[in-house]
Amino acid sequence: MGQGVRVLVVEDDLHVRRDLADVLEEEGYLVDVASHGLEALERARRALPDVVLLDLSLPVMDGWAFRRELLGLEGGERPRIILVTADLHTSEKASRLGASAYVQKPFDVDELLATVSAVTRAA
Amino acid sequence: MAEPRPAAADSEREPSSGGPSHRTRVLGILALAGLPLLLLAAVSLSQGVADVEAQIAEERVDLARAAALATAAFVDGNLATLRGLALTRSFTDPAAHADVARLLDRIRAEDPNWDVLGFADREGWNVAITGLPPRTVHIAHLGFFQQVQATGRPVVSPAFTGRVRGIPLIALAVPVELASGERGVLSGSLSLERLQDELQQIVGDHGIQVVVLDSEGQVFIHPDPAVAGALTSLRGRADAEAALAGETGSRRTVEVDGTDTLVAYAPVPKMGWGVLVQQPAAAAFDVARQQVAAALTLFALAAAVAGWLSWHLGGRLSLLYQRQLDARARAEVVARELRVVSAENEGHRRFLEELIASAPVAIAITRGPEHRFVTANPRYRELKPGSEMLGKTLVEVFPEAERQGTVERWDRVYATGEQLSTLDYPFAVDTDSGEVVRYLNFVLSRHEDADGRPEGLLIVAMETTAAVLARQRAEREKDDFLSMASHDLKSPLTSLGLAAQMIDRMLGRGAVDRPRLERHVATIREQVARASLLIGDLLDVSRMETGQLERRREPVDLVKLARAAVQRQRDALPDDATHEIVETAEEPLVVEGDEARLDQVLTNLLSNAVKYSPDGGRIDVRLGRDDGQATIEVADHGVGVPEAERDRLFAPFSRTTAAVRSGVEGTGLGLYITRRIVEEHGGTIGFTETPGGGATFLVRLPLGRGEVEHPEVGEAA
Repeated sequence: MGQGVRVLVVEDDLHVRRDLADVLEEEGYLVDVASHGLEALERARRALPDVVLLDLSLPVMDGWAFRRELLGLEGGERPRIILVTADLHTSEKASRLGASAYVQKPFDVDELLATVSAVTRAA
Repeated sequence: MAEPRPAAADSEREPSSGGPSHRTRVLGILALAGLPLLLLAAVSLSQGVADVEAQIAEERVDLARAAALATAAFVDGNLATLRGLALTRSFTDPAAHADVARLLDRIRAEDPNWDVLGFADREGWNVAITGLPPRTVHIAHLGFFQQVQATGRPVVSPAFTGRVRGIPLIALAVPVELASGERGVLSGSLSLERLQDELQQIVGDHGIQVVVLDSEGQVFIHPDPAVAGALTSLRGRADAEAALAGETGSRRTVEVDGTDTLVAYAPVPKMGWGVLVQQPAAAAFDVARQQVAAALTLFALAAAVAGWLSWHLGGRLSLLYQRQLDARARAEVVARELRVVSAENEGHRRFLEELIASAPVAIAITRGPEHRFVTANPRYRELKPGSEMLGKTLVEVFPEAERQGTVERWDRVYATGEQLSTLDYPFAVDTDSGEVVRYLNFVLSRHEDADGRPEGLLIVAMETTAAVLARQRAEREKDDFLSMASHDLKSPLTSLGLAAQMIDRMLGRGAVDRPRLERHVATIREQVARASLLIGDLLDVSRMETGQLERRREPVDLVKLARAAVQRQRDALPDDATHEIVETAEEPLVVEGDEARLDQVLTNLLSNAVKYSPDGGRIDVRLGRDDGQATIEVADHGVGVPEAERDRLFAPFSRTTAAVRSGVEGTGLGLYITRRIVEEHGGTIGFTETPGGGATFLVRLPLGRGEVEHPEVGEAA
């Protein structure tokens, strides 16, 4: 299903990060993980992902800063962003971030996978 | 002269009854007995004369002072009338000028003080003047006109002789600020007959003269109309110069005709004028002189009645003194009444001006349909710092009012008279540093003339910017809190939900991966613990915010509490931990408070110290007293707090980057709760860096009552 698609999961909660990676890998995605914005930026520099699952409240470098830095990279506008957050006003924040979709925490795994799949197909 | 007769008769009767030798002896005895008495009486009488003369001179000074006050009050009062008139629409609105002549005629008819009243335009042509057709008199060459035009302030002219009646007059002139921006001059010449009558009433008759001089030394009030009419100058005369120099006193002056005159002088307040109260000295001191002369004769005639005579003289002297006192009292009453009556208008106006100037709200008054400011108090002027408002229109002062619809609103109130009031109305003010939005509660209402025609607007405004901004900030903080609370509560739920779904998927595939299953179960346990911790903290915060936190007041020994908390913390350390918790205390240390809550403070600080020292190290817990307060210091050598984040350290949901990066779990509420508990106990909490790195928290709490006075008494730990 997700064969060959690179997904970068940026999530500070260890359990969520690990479980998301497991699920996505089971679906055939190539998964990379990062616990904060700066780490995510390093991953993206090494291999530009197709999709980024991004939370906003992150230590060290938050989601907003990461997005700005990403756009500064060569080809940095290509990765689709899916906002995954427990914050309020998610849809508004998603459009400000220029995200393709958003998923609210706590989320249903199937719904999340469907969103990733839809965004990937559109890409 | 009739009184000594019996004594004289007695002494004459003596020889007929006792022979010449007897009479001589009696006369000798009388002379011997009377001589010293006579000398004594003469000395005491001359002393009495000097006293009486000084007394009279002093009374005259009082009269001069009273007359000067009455003169000032007279001018002030009439000036206030003109100033009041000058503010009315009849004068300020050029459209109303057709009626001005009639108005001036009416005032002139009602108030005989006014000799002529006139209103001149900017060019000096009289728009209206009593007794003459309009635009027939040109006054641009007159000093008072030029002075008012130049300064915009009221002017009192020196005295001059009126052309019509040949009597001395003084002119008062005040500016009229026309709605057109031009300045006219409203002036009136005052005839001084009434003032002269009043002054004469103050000094009484007895031949006392009142003379008033203007600042140039010209006499314009004098009992002799010829002297006043000629505006005789008294420049150079010592008493006149002294009065004009602002001095008060009396002196003996020899007049041109040789008359020795007693002159009392006083300055007229604010006017630069002077008042002289004068009388030939002979007349002034006549009463006393007559009495003394009579007394000496009587003494010479009969020393035997000296005692009776001096009693009589004392009576006459006190009568004389009484008469002077009466004159002074009368003068004071008249002067006071004059001052009260004439100051009433002026007083009202000043009271209103002071009220407006010191009011804690912004007040402005405009005139005319283009809203020209005639009054703006300091608070109002703060709305546009550095701008000159008076005489300018709304749009001139606030060009930004046009694009914000303010002008239409003001126009509407002016046109309809309907009051407009707003709450927290945002008004963008252009300043040198850009646009600044200020919030105002204001009431805009129309003021009208006696016939109900609109005159202008009254604006009373209260700036609410600070309150509005504070409210917005509080709302934002509440929003941030909710946002963070929602985020932090959903995080463990996300993990929990995910773990459950992972297990579900595993079961669905029918292949149970045991290590993974165990991992998910561990996650569930951890996240439930995390969620309940967070919910507990949130409940504490919520109780604090609503003031529901139960609070006891009982003596609590901090040392005992700290030792127990340290022990608990030591017990909880994992076996491999390298932390060393060291407690030092000056005991006992008793404060008044809630033991459970104070324990929470100690436990929070201690567990933070352990949590944020991931590499172990020494943790110092020091208890002591300083400046009547109990101090608790908890110092670690851990990750510390970056300088930029120290401000937010005690705020809700604040977690330092160092704390997050070190991977330590936390709700971000611990220090906030700690601070709130300390503050509720009347204490403070602060942060400093531990020498060599790490965090030091210092809590100060007020000592219990017994503790402060008797440090040796208390519960031993």
